[in-house]
Amino acid sequence: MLKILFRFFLFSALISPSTQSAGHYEKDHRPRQFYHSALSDNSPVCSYSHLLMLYPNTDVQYVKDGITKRYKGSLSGSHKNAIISAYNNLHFLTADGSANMEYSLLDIVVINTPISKITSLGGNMYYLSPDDIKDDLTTYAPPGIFDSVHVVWNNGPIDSYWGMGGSFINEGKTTFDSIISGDESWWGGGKYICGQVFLHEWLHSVCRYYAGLGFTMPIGDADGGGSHGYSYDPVLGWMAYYRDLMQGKVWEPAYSKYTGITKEAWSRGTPNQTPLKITSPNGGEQWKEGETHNITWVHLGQTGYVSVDLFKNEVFKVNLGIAPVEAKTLLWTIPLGLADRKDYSDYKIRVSNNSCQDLSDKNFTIIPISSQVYFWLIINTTVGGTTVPSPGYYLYRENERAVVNITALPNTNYRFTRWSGDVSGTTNPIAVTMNRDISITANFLRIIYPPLNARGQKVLNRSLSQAEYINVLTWEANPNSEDIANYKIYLVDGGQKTLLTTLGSGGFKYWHRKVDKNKTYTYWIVAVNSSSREGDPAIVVVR
Amino acid sequence: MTIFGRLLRMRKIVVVELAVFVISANAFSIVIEARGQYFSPSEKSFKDIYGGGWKYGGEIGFSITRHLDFWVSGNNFSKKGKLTFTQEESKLSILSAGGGLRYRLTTGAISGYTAAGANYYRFKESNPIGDVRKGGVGFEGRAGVLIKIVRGLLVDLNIGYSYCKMKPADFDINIGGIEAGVGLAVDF
Repeated sequence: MLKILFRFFLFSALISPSTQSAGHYEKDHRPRQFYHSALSDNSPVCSYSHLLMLYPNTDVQYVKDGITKRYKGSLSGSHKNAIISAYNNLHFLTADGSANMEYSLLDIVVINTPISKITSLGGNMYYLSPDDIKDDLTTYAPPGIFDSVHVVWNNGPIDSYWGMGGSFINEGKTTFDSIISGDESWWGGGKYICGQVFLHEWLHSVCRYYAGLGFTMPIGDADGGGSHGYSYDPVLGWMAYYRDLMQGKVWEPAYSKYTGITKEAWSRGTPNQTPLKITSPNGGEQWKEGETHNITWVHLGQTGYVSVDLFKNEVFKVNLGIAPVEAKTLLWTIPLGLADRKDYSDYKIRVSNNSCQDLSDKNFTIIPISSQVYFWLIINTTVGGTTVPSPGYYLYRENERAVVNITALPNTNYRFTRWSGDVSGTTNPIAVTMNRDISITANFLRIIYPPLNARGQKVLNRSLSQAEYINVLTWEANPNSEDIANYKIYLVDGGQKTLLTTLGSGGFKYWHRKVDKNKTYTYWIVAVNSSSREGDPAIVVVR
Repeated sequence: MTIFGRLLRMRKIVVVELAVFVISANAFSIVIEARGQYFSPSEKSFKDIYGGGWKYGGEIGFSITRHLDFWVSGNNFSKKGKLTFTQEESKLSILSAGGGLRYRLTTGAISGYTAAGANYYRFKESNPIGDVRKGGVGFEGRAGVLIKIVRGLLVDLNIGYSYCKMKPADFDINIGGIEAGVGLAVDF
């Protein structure tokens, strides 16, 4: 989105030169249509947005053979036009070379402010470096706008190489090449030769970029025509080599395989593009809770699904769903209550898959229904029950001061234990006054029932000469209880409960030995679950 | 010194005096016997917990007259049983030592007799309820027949009854009962 807006701005600037202060713009030479060669049935899988920055005027000091000199001069109109015509042919050359896998969008800015600084390459050689035109690059080619920037400067008598390609600006996101104006006659030629210098220098950077992604390039990349058996043709120039280079068909003996920019490489996009790019929301949107919006993205060569996430202040907030990457859209109804009431800007959307991701370029806003008028009642439950009203989110007007009766309803074999959250207690139902946001949780517990058929009996156990009395306790498991790990036997005497023993879940009898023959004993037999929670006791009295 | 020790000491004195008496009276024999007897207790709880069993012991008899002997004997009865409810193991041991008189109804190759005497019983029982030791004096009566097999070698067939009431722990119990056995005796 930013890119489109900038291009609109640039277009406006170009047709209104008198209003600009950063430079003087002559005309917009862009043929806005995509160029499609008839050479192949390929559909473009990659788009490069190019900018030519043409500097026809120079006023610099330089050193030649140890003598400081000054060059001040301008290109003729025909010379400028020859350069621009050659640049415009870059459409054809990239489409022809890549067999239509790549297409180019071209922009031109002619900067009439004379160049006042150039960079020495050692000896008598100079070139116009990115540092020399730093301000202009910031103005006309900021990050995220163009994929490739070509600079042509009027070198006059200053010694320089025709082209210096293979470098990047904008932290590697934009290819950069610097070309001298040279002689006007250099820029002519037939349709395959005219503008080949742009293609050649651009290919240096492009090959470096795709090599960095793991694709194998021929040794010498754009310079490797001669060393790979190709020769300059009066009609095609080096186009035969560039075609093979741009289609991954250069046989590289050193690697024993074909090298170059394959369709898969082009499919990875430009250094400035992510293979996955979110297009909406991409910054500045103002969406409201309850509204439904399309989250959209574009992609290059991606398959499968993408995950769509909401970020707040660059921090993950919530997943909004997944969608086939090819769908390029996800319909999202913004839930009520999602937006931060105090700070409802600073949202971004991220789309991602296993290999790549993209975040909205800038923040957008989710506006809550109201920041003051409503209070949220959030009812939650633990496992084992529900509530009336049902668990969920409820909105109440602040000025209603509504009183909401909430009833906890345990499921079978569960018991309501308490309220927690912003409200506590065990009253059921409970009345909640909505004078603030309230989150309340009804807590339920699985009932641990008393063992069944608990009995006790005092028996005599004797030998020939000795005797003891034993209180024999027996019980059965209660089938309505779950997850019983053991049973505990308590002796209850005078309000005091003393643990006698803990038995495994398979033990259903206990002998309390050497008891008093004439005393009455009271026992609690308690089932205990794996969380060590004790259930209700089965009470056994033995006389 | 315990009662048992004192009794042993008294018994030694009596034996020595009787021997002196027999020899001085020109008495004529000493019989030494080893025997086994099947013991069936009188007490029902004894039967329930331990049942009957074999009791082993020995006896020395001294002729006083042609028909009257003086005897001293010692016996041991050991048995394992189970507690009435828990069915846990219980061990019982009864040692007895005593003496008395035997009257021979007839003399010859086959000689019937009756005997009576007093015993000191040493009772010991161990089980999960506890360990008990107790001593007590009881009585026994016996009738039998001595059969001469070869010269100087006798077989003793007998039945008897013993009685010893005591309260080792929680119960008054009679540790005696009916017994029947066989012995092999050497007549010197």
